[in-house]
Amino acid sequence: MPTNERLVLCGGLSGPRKPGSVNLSLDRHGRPGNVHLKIPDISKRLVANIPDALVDLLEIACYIYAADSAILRGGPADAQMGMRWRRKLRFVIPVRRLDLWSSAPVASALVETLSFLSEDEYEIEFRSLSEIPVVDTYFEFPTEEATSFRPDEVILFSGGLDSLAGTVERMAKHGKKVALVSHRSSPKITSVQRYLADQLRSRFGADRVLHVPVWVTLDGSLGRELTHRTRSFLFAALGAVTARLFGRDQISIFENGVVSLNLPSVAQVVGARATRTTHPQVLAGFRRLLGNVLCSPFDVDNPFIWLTKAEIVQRIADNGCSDLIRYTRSCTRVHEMTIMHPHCGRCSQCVDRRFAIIAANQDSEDPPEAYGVDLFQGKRPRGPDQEMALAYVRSASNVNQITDIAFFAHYGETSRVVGFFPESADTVASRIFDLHQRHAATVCRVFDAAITSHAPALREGRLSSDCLLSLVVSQREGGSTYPSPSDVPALPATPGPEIRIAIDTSQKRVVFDRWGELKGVSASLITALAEPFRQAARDELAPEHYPFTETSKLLSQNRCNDGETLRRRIKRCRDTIADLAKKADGAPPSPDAIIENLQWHGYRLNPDRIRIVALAELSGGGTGHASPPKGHASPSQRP
Amino acid sequence: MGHVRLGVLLKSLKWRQVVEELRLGAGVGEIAALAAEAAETSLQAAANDPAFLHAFWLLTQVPLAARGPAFAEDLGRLGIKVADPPSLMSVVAALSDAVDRHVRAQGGRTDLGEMAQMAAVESLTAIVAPTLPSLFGPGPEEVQRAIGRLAAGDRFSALAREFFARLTQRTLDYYLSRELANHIGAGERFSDDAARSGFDHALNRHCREASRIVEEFAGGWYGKNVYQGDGLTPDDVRRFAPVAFKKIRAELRKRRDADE
Repeated sequence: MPTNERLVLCGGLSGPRKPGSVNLSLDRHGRPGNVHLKIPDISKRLVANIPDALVDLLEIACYIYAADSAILRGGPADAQMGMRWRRKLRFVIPVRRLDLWSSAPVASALVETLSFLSEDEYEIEFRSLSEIPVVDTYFEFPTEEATSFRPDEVILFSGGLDSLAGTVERMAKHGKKVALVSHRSSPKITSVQRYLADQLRSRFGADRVLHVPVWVTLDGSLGRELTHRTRSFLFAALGAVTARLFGRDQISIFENGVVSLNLPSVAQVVGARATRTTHPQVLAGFRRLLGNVLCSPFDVDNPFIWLTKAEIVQRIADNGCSDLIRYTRSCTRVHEMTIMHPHCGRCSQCVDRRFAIIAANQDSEDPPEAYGVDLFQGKRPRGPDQEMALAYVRSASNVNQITDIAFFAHYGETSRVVGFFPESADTVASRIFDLHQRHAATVCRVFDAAITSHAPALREGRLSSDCLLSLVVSQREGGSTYPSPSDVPALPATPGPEIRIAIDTSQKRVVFDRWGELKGVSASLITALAEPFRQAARDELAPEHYPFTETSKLLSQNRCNDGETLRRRIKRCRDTIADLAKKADGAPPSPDAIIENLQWHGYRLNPDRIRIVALAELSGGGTGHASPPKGHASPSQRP
Repeated sequence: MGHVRLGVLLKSLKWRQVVEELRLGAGVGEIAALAAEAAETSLQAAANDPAFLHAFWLLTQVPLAARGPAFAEDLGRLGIKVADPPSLMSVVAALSDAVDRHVRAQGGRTDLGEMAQMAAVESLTAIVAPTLPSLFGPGPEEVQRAIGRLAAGDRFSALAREFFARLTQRTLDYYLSRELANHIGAGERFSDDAARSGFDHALNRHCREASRIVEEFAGGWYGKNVYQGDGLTPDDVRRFAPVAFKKIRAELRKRRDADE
């Protein structure tokens, strides 16, 4: 079976080609090099004392990002169930602090975090850097005011709605001084980030905002794969280095919770096909990694994790910055951006943004003309983009009607979220459900309003047949409505029927109600297990606390030499009981109904099914075969 | 910063036939059988998929752990790390985490394994949660008792059916969801997305029905291995998986033929 395996030699290292793998050489230091990093606006004084571990972190993040961008994941058909989507990446990276990066806590935190983030398999071999390059070539040294700037908070600033909302809130509401770290991935985005930073300076004070735009660029041949699942690792590393240079031990990444969790909207979205950029498990991984690298706690926080995008847009407006909304960029298709249409209107981010803007009544601040495709009336030709928009509305409609149980039984991905918060799993799960219900209700409300406002056009069939409204609400007669979510199958909450037995020690037998009696070895076994059972019943223990008798003890009680003999006796006992029950009732009980066995614990009578009573309490007074209860025919009465 | 990547359907002969039948308005039974045939290699690969094997094996073990007096400790022995006492949500999360760690250590994650992992946690939630007074409220004893009841063969069979129904449906939908939207519109198979959604629901019901066959033999298999043998091992799961998928495929074919 072919695998998508690559050896990535970094820092100008060279090595033998491994059979079946493709080598990819990445060099940050050589001339001319194919991975370029430049951090302006950081003062020379700060950089003078930059720890080696942080420089290593920056370089490692650049190499990972470069390899992620250079190695293709296979086409959109995902042949052989996406076998090429997951790559096996073996890095060889020279570092300054070999001791640190080779240590188990750092190495495992790095590999585990990256594995979850990008769904690739990583193997990273660190080597000692033979020639230490000059660090200040990464940094551009700016004006004096930047030299003396001391931020209260370091924020990763993408230039999107969420990071703007977070920054505005921190500045307007909490009066913070902020350092905004941006990844300048494209000139189109760079100008937006710069403009927004300038606007924030003019509103909140020039001395309260420092913009740190960081260039990480790759040579053309390295930028073939556009999925960029490790981009947030690079972004977080840039933020963490900046924060440490300013003496801070925290960075904030503002992202709405729905996108942060990114639950799959349709069945083909498996694993990291939905990005995990700010997934709680990823942020926990960043915290763990950075804490280990820095040898002190470092926080990577998403303060907007429990907010929807619409609520975030509302916060921008509440903080008096709604006029900045139109300058933010959410579109993932940067290469398609034009001055007329900075948003494609087709990608998931554009669809999500537009719903949120309308829901927050901010559409006047984000004109529809800015979108290449209008949310409701624009043509959406067949293909993944059309399905993207439909799946967005479809899943919102589903979640809007769903119960909490059906939600968690539908979105198994939530299992990867609940363990990564300080609160209990139940509290987190309840918040996840609430968050998605609010989001779904918002989307449905906006969509319903669009149906109403376009009702005449819909009725008259004037809308394009492939616009979102037409696709969701048929213009023909007999259009359908989304079906109610499927029911979760119900299983009876109670265990099976009670099995009443009596232990007759005088005659060394065990009598089953209606089924008959056991004697000999089988009776001895059940008698041995009955004593701890009785004691537990007297103590009124819960079923799960009924004790098991250890195998060794049961061996001696039954004069057995070895476990195998005991197992055979137990099996014979169960078979005999099954035969008795079958003769009496027509169906044998399940093997665990009378004697349960549990690895690590031993054997016991099943507390859910067994009830030990006095002989006289059994039907027929202990013969085991007398007058059956109403509805049961004794063997002799059956035809 | 979030993004979702959607794909397109393979252009193999078998999948082109599925597309054609979709276009011609074939019933859910016909489409499901054809899609299962086209996806056969993927489903048969489950027997060697590390995430599938570990997820389903853990599903067989969690109810047993819940029977005993040391639930959290026994889960820990299985690699399912939970606080003591655990809630249903924390058991489900820890189960998923155990599969992730297992696959990370072993390598070889696939889309099928990913879907199996999700089917496992969803099945446990779907089967256990409705037997509790509420999803978030119940005490840990109630949760343990509800999970422990699945250790009986007849109960485990319902869990196994749920798992295989979900995995079958997910696998078929993994492919079909790349195509269904192409059949929406005036004069097309689906008048609108709601009608397409109706197809999804019908497919779900169909897979659930076809998976009844698993319920019929999973209980006996479970009881035999757990209570009459040496315990249920990952190798037992490896042998069980291809049989289960073969039976489901045969059932899908049978149901299609019955529809004709």
